[in-house]
Amino acid sequence: MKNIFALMIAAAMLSASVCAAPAENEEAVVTFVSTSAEDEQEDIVYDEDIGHEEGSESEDPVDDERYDEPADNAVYPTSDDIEKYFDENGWPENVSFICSTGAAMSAFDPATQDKPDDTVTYFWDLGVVGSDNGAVAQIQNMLDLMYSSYRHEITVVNCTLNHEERFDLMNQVTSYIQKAEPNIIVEESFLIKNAEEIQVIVSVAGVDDADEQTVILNDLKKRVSSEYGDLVLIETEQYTADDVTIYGGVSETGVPETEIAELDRGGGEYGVATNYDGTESADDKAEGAVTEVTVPLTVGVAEAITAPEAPQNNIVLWVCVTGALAAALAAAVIIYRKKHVPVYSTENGEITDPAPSAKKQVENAVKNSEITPDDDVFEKITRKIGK
Amino acid sequence: MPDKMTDEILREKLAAIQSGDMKAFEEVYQSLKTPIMTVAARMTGDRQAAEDILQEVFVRLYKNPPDPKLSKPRAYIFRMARNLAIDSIRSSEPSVNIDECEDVLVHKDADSAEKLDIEAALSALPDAERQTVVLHINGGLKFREIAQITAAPLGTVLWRYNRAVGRLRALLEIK
Repeated sequence: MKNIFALMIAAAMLSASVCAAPAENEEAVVTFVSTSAEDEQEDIVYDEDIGHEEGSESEDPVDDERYDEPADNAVYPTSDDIEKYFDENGWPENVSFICSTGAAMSAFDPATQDKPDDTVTYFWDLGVVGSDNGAVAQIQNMLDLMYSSYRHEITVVNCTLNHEERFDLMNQVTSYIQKAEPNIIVEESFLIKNAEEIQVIVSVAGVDDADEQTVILNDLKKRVSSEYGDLVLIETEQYTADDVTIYGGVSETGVPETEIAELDRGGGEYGVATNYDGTESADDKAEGAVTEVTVPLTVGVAEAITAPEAPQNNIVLWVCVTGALAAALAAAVIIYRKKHVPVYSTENGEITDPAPSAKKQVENAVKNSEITPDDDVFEKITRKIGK
Repeated sequence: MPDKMTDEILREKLAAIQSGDMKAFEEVYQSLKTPIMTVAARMTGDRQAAEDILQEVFVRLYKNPPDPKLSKPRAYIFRMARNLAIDSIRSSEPSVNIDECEDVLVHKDADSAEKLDIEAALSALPDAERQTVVLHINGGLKFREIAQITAAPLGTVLWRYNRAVGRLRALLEIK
């Protein structure tokens, strides 16, 4: 998967844009330049925050040379890695989303005569609630530390919900929709990767009439909009069932819509042609006269339908197969990058979480095996302090 | 188990402790006794040493409470516990080894076999990785705070943590 992302990053360097159009409320562009190892050390140690414990050792007694240290120079920055890290360790409080929007190499600047220095700059969209510079700085540090070989340029997008609130909203909306309209089926819900909105894919079941489906969907959109605002995008998936009735429409000629199956194919079928006389009469200058004439249609014999000949050239087949495989691969990558969140629901509309990841299981196991002190320890402490 | 005490509440309690409020002192103890005990026991591999560290931390907290304006009081307390654990490791060999006396670290009310597996798996980790895991999971510290406490770059802390979890996953045979 890393290789795929590396290829995509390379493509992004050419296109300079992977994500969709930026949100309207984009604000400032904050540029951060990666620092040296010593600088990183300085950046993250805030002794005045923690304070010093006098008389104790601060040096780590462990021989770190026994372990291999991370070599992150070869790692390509991806928003997926950042998201995955946050998913597993918790998102920063005021961060809504983070999305890589592409990368570019430095180029010759004719104005300043600066020569290109092979610096690769990665561009990021960062959704931040309020104006939390701390959250931006935190992401800056992460990017600089995790991908120190690159320069990072962050565009801050103002948001109202942080990532956890967006996730909660998604679950609420999904549950709400399932309870609100029995004919609506929630196919999928997910957080949009490069914006604050969440998206819910729905379909209408048990209603054959297309107009009625449209009415139900529009009603649902209005209700969701009034309940949850503009942060929820309701989309539909078009599908064709086996028993779908296809309607033919010639309503402009005055003939009512009729099912094709009911057309009289035995002969004597008539259509209606409309002639429009655009010339203005003296009596009515505003409207043209409309006259209808009935024209008999010619009844013909349909040719026998035969199966098309098999393609003679196998290259066509190979092209099709290769194209299908490429499309499937692209779809898999897009689904992965869009971070679809599977949502399982019970019959009464309750949302259930997917099974925890192996990493989460490890963390839970370590967390749940905590060691408690004996009950008399507090008494010993109070004796020592003379209380 | 009491809920994790936030830094804001902890600051209030520390201010109360400064004025001799024993109730606040006990509340802080009840909130932090298990995390500190777990971190100390897993760092030293010695339950008795861990209890001594726990006592020392709270004696110091009462006698010399930190400035209530401290922005990261929880990290401060765990830094103190961690440093005491390092002092303990340096001053003497563990008097009781986890492998030799497995039942000393086991909860009375939990699945003993699973706990033994976890303790054994944790003890198999390199010290720096185990320290990172217990400070984050049991101590409830953020990676940035662990980086400050251990004087290691944040990237190294993240890397150690992910590697440790990977090792634990293999040792515990979690698929």
